[in-house]
Amino acid sequence: MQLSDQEIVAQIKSGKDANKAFRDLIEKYQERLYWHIRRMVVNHDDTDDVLQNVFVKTWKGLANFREDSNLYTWLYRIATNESITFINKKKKENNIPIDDESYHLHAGQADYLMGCDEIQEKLEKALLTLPEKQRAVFHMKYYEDMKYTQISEAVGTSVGALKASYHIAVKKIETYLTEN
Amino acid sequence: MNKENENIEKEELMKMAPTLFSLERINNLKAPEGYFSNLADSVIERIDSEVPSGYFEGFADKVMDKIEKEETKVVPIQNRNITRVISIAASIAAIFIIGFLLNQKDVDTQIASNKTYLEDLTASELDEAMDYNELDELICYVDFEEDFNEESYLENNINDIDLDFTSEEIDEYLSSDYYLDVEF
Repeated sequence: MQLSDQEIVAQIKSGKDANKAFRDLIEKYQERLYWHIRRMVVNHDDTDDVLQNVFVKTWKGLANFREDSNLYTWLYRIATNESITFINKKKKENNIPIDDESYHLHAGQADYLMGCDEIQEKLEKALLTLPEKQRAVFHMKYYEDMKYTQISEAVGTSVGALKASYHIAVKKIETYLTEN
Repeated sequence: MNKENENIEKEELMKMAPTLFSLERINNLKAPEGYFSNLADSVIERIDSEVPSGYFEGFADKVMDKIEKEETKVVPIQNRNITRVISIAASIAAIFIIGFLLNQKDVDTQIASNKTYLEDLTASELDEAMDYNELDELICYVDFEEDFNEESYLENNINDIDLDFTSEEIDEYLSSDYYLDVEF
């Protein structure tokens, strides 16, 4: 039987079978967090690095985690921040301006789009035209069907700004799909 | 999300982006085979090498100790020597009152002197003074620019959403009923 988030956190904090409980936490959230990060950083190896950092930070941060908070959105928040920090660091290393949103196009696009049919490939390409964070918002809403309040907690932005961001992302993707 | 909101969102998407709406919502990306079965091992291995072992062992006891220590630091005021407390409070109040009165005298003198100074200024001197203020502001701005650290700025602002909208996009968004309809 899968433990609830509260049970996992309580077990880790109690120190009894902490490693086992933390393994449960990883197994419960690894896939969702992987795709969330992958949408932002694009390539698998980078995603793996970021995801591992997220879990290490989670382990270290659990000591201060309030049990009445939502573990799910807290993890997403760490993942979002880690991804953006990673992207900005990469851009800096490659002398690419922070506001340049096309950096990922240099990061193994062929591998990224392998195995898609034509229209889905076009959708993936359209997604790559969005800024990283807008892409993450689109992913959480469109693919994961998350509520705006959850996304808001996950990315630390107001619900109003998120709705505007999602709306604009949808319009941009539609334009790309119909014009290309 | 309740059914009603779900339907509103679907309808909106259908109106706003019919091509996108017609696509199947599938994840086209692939992770290497077996990746998720080994991830927990890799993470725990990394944690073992980075975080001291037994980090969470006795964690609850440590927290309780800390809480108890903090509680013992708080001594109820009624147990203290009340006369001593009153005399300290009175001394502090006296210092503030004297300070305020002295300061008030300075302020009055300064206002009077500024008034005389402004009355004596010629138009060209006033222009100069304005220029000086602008220059002063510019210096402050340059100082800010010099102190500005891109890395710490990014660290502190990574939560800001990308709001790089054009005015057309904002107009279009506001003229649609999308942002009014969807409940969250």
